[in-house]
Amino acid sequence: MNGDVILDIQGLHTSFSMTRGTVRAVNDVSFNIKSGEMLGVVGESGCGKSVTGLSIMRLVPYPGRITGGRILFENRDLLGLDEREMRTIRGSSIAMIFQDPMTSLNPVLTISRQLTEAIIEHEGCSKREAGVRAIDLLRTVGISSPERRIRDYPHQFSGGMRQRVMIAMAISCGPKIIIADEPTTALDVTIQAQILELMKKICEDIGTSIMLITHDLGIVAGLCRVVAVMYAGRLVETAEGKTIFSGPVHPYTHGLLTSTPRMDRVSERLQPIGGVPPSLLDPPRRCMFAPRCRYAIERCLREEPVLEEVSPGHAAACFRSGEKLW
Amino acid sequence: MGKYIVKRLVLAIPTLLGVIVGAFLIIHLVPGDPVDIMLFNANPTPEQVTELRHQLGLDKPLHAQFGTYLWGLMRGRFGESLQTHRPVSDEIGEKLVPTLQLTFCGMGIAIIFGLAMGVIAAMRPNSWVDNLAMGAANVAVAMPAFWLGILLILLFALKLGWLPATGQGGGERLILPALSIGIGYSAIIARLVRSNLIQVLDRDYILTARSKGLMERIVVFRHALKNALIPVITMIGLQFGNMMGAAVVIETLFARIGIGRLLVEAILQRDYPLIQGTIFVFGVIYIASNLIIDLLYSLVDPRIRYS
Amino acid sequence: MFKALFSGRPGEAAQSGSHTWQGVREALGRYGQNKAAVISAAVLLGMIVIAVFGPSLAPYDPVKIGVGGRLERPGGEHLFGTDQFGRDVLSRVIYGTRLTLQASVIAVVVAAGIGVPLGLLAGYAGKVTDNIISRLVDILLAFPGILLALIVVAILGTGLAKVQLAVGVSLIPAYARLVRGSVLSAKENVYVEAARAGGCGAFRIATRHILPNIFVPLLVLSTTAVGWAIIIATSINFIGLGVQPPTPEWGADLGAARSYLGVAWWPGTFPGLAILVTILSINLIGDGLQNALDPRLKRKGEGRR
Repeated sequence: MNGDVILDIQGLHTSFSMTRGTVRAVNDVSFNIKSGEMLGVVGESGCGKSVTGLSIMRLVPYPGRITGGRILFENRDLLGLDEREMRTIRGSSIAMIFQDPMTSLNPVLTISRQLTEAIIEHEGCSKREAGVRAIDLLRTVGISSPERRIRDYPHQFSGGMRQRVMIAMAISCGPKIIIADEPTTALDVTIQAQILELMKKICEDIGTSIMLITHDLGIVAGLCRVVAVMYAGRLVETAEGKTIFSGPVHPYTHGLLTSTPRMDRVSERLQPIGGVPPSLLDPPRRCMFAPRCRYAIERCLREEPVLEEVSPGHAAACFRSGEKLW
Repeated sequence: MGKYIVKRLVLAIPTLLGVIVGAFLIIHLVPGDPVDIMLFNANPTPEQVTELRHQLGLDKPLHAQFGTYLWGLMRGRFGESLQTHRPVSDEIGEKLVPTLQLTFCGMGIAIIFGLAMGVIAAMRPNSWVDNLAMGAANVAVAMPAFWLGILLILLFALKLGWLPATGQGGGERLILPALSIGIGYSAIIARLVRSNLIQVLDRDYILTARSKGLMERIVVFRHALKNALIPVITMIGLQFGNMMGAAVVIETLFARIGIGRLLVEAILQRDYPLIQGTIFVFGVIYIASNLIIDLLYSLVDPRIRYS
Repeated sequence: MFKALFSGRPGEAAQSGSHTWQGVREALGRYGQNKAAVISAAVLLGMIVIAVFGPSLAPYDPVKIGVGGRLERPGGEHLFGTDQFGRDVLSRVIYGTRLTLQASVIAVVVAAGIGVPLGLLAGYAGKVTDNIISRLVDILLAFPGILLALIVVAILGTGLAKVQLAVGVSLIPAYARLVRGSVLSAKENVYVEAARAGGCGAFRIATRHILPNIFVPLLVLSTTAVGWAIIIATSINFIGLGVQPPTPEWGADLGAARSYLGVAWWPGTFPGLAILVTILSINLIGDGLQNALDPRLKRKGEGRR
């Protein structure tokens, strides 16, 4: 039923053990995705948003490991499943789209093959049936003459079209959730808009939830009902899209907004966030944003703030969330 | 793709010309008088020397000799062997097939073992399986094929008596010689397959394939292997020539009939017409095998096919 | 075979600074971490010692017939046994060390001596010269190592010196290709253009900018080339087209041992073992050097024989 929670991430921890120490890429992250909803996960490069997506799919590359937490999906903890069970979920119940369509498609296999293999694997269709469905899928994502193009190779498609193919692959088995990791970052701006439109259409028409991972706050505006902001491996604020833009509570979110140019506030000066993102190697137990935060107090340097509800549907990890800082 | 093939063919022409000229020049590059050298052991009379010189056409000016040579080449005639007085083309013709048989067998062994070892090692990098396989590969590469052959003879023919040590023909007589050639090259192939496969398995489209919930077996064999093998195919083609070279030595060891042994005998006996003919045939075979590999390469990589 | 080894593009040796003192020390450190490489270096050193001091180390005169009975088993007075002429196999293997190491080094020097200038010329001179030289190298490459060496033997005759020359010739293409590729690639480098704009002559550019860049790949190629040289040389000697009896040479001794395999396994084993150990150590040293000097350089393929 629309509006029910279908994916519940509780206290996810993912770390990479390197020779220099442990990089805590995802540090106690909790949020959930509801049916038919589009959730945006926003943050700078290296903040752990991609690793979060990979953790849900349990595709974190070595030397990374999920070290704690639960991911509840369809009444099961994904982190407790064995590899075989996980494989039945990947591509069929939960699908993923990646950033670079140029390198994410196999250059030596036809589009037909790459589209049909998930269908054949998960739904047991014959090759012919899967082929018919593949052509339909291409049509759905807006590729013209799909019957002809189905036999082409990836290098015969443009970047935007390849991303459409990726989307077609993702929806091929009717997943409940699609994790889209920076799906438009490698595309031209005009194509970006088209792809986002396509994803919105899929979310609304088919009812698939989409977890949109991006560094671009502008993309999630107007698109995502819920937005989660990450910084240095931690979730710093989650709220409805409108609230994030109109009334953010965490200084980092506020900083992101004021440092991004906006059409409706042309005359305002941009305020960049000073400093650089911290290293995630053996992170200290304090607010990770404190060194760069204009509103930091002494407590911020001694304690780790926890994500707490500020108002219904709005949570932030800041000791000063109750105050009106701006 | 047609353009690609034509380009390759055109590039091969100068090399072919070079082989033709090179084979011709062999007898003329010999320091001293080749006729004297050829007849060294026979204590010839001056008439015999002149006769041989005339027979080989060495008394004519150089360009005339080259003309005769080319003319003969086009009709498939390379002259007569000094040892047997049979046409060189006959000698080579009979002995070419066993050598090719041996080389292809060796190549088959090399590909099968090499692929298997390389894939197994790449699927579990840095495990004991990988280390063992690569260690074995290192040793195999450092062993001359003829010594491996001797060891195989000592073990399988003499000690265990399972296989015959010498002789020509196919079947069990082919096994030890083919293994001698094949094992060394399988090591080279294994190393290349392993390193390429490991690299490919790191690529984005492999992540995509895994995200679709495909079995690892399918990911490796359908998605990864084809990409990893493209450079390997080129390498195998290049090694084909090397393997024929190794066949030269292996044929001597196993006392097999073949153009390798033919060439060795010819060199020992200073049978220049035979030497020239054999070298020419070797050269043509290498050029042809390189062209075939280029063709295969374009078939496997669709990016070349459709551009 | 050599085509496969190097597509002709050099490593980024200059960028890793491996030709400065600091770079050398770091490289030595990296090399030292590689156990196999260190052991191999020790083994090679041992072999060089054996080669140099062979005559003093060998228990018997290698060519003296009848120091033991015919085909005596290994053990006792004759650690490696005796061959069909009653000669001590151990002594022959020891003397063979010097021959093999010498022959392979000479071959590599010949190959580099001709191949490097050839490559420099092809890379630096005009397109026409490049094309001519490249075609010539292609023709040489149409015949793999041993065949090329055999052709040289066919022309010049048998004998140790001829074999060394023949093996050297067969290795020329590898060097020429590598150097040519490096030169072409360096030519396109901005700093060369800058140097030229600053008035540097071709020679200066070659020595100051290009040679340092190819030093590491050349070194690595040379270690592999020594291995190839040993295989080709011993192969030629094995089939009897090289050194003549009674010269003690590993390949030749293996060739002679063929007829007696039925009754004696040792004359056909120990010389071969020596070859294996030598080539293996050299290969591992080469791998170690490559990893130590430029960890980013990726080997594209292998070549052999």
